[in-house]
Amino acid sequence: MTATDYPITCDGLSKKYRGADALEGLHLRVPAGSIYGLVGPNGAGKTTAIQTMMNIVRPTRGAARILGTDSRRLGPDDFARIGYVSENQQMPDWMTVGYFMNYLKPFYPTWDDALANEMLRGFDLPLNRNLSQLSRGMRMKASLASSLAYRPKLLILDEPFSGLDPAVRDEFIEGMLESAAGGDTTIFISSHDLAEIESFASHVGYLERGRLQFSEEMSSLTARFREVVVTLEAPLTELPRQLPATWLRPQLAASTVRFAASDFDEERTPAEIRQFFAAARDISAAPMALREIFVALARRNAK
Amino acid sequence: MRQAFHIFRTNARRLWPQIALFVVVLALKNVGYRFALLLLPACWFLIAALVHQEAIPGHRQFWITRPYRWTSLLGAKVMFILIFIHAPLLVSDCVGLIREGFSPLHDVSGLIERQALLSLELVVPPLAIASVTSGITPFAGFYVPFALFSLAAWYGVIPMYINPGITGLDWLASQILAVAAGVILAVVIVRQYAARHTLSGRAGVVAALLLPFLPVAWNTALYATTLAIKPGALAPMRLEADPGRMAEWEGETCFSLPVKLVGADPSLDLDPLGARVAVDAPGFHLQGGWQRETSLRERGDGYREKVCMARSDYTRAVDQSDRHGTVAVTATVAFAAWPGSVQSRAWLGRGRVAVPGVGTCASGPFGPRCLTPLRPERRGFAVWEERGLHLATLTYGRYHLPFEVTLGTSPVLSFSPLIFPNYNRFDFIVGPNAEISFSTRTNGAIYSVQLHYPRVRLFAAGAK
Repeated sequence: MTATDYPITCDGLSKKYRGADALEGLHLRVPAGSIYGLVGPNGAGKTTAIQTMMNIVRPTRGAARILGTDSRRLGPDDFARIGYVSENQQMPDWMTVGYFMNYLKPFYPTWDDALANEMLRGFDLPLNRNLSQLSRGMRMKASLASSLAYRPKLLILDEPFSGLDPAVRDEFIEGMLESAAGGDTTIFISSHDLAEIESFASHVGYLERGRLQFSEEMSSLTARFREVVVTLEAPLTELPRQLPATWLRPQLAASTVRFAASDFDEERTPAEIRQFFAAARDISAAPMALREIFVALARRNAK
Repeated sequence: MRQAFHIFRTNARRLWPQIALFVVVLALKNVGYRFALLLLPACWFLIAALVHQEAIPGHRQFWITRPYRWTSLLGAKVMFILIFIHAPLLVSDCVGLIREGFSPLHDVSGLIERQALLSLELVVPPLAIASVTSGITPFAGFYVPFALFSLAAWYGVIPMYINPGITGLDWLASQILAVAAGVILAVVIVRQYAARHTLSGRAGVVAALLLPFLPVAWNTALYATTLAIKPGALAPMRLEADPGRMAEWEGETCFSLPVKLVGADPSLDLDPLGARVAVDAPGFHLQGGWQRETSLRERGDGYREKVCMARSDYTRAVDQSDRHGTVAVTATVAFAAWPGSVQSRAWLGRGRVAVPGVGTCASGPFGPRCLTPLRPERRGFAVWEERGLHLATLTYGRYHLPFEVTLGTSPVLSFSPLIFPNYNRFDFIVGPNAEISFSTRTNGAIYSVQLHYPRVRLFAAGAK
């Protein structure tokens, strides 16, 4: 395993704030060229994870390696290959958009003027307007443009969509994907907007209360989760005990049993169902949206 | 270097109003020295604004995830300070010197040393504070209490910081503390830029800012060093209580101690430095601090040390005195003796005259005034024995004159207690057509002796 294979690796990355665990033993591998979505509810530790990776805060335990460098030792040469966009980032508000881009240019040896201009045009950013006068969406686009103009190897985005209206959000995502598509950029994006992540992420990780619940390819995740509906011959008064742990939030309504199967298999799962419900008349399994998957996971973890 | 220059240009473009304000304040300082008081806040807040362009503490600044080299960032700030703060200060000094008829080339090392000292006062503290704060409000949170505390200490509002008046080697203590504070602050600045250790940086800044105010008995300690020079070795000059005079209470809270000087070389200039007095009566002991001599000086057969005490102490002393209204007084009296030599003389009151080796003197609305560049404070000190005398260097304030000014036989040793003394100006007032002599005084000896006055009358006999 090299930095080329995994631009981001975390081993037991932990961060405490005033004794409280904001991030607890995060183990993560982000494959090169992937678009990795780190999702989770507010306060799950997504921003802490990213800030630790970017050496904005220091980990309490564990380590992260970003493009092969220990995150605590990230230096100018590393930052020249990393793009970082965050909803919380302060910008030099007194600069105009044009000045901001020209100011950043000398910091990056790989700065591409043509790409920068293309993005400024594509995002319809007014060159002569101060950053302070831009709307939130425009500021995010300016930040993204300034982070893509040097074709970074790794683009890290922390909650970039929050507060953006749908049109701007689409424009933002489109610009990000277009710019990243040309090179070998790996994108790591945190969000609680599951629908958006689902539309373009190739990998997804779910973080809750500082712990990573799972991390896998999107296709594998959607393949193994199914909303299962079992229709029984006769109504039941209660569900059997000892149902498999992989059946999430099982519900009984007369002669219908519903649950989310977290490791659905075309052959194995129906057989398992018939072990518990011998009188099953019909079994149907429907794909689940990412949002439904996380709701099921969140409810299980809340128990 | 290219990156540093790039950041510098952007900072300069952004901060031109603050730069302009600083330059205006600096220009006003040359118009009236009281404007110099504005220089401190103008300079501190310019530096704060400069550093906060790329604030170091915090998680949200855009620059911390950009490829800034810390050496370039710090270098840009240093470049800015050199160009927009130190260069104008240097130009201002040179203009001041030229305006008063001096060539700046005459004292280049002095000008450079002054820049270094100004850096300790005007640049390093705000740079360190700004490096551990994220904006102007927390910066002011450091600055305002510090400024108020400094002013209170400077003007003697806080009793523990009242200058005891013993010039001796006090300057050494202040230099040690100032240099130590400067070193701590410099370390904080570098660590902040290199690794952003804000919490420990803040602790370092607070420690460094408080360091010069430490209630360490430096004065006493250093004066004790000078007292270690055995008075006996300073023969043939002797100081003793004058038995021919009765020590008497002069006023409500002050009395003068008659001191007799025996065998003094008439060529020596004598400066009483002060006295430490203990008052004893049955069941009463009062140990006073150092009191500065208050000019009751009579050459020839002796002089008097005037000693004052707090009214409450005085009342207690009166209450406890014996039935004759007398107390016993033990005084440690210290003075410095200087082998002086007249360098030049000038008659003033006839317009502007050039005094060789001194500068230009002229009559003014409040009396004659001489202008001369001062030498920076001496670095280090020495006490050594030469021809039977124990010698020590003595300085007055931050800068000292390259010579001593005397008016008749009394030395003029006053400096205005301003934060920014107009270093190239030394004002004193004499009567019309007074003769002023300027003499060199390099190394002097510090004498001290303990005197005992068994019966000091506190008030008129029988009045108790």
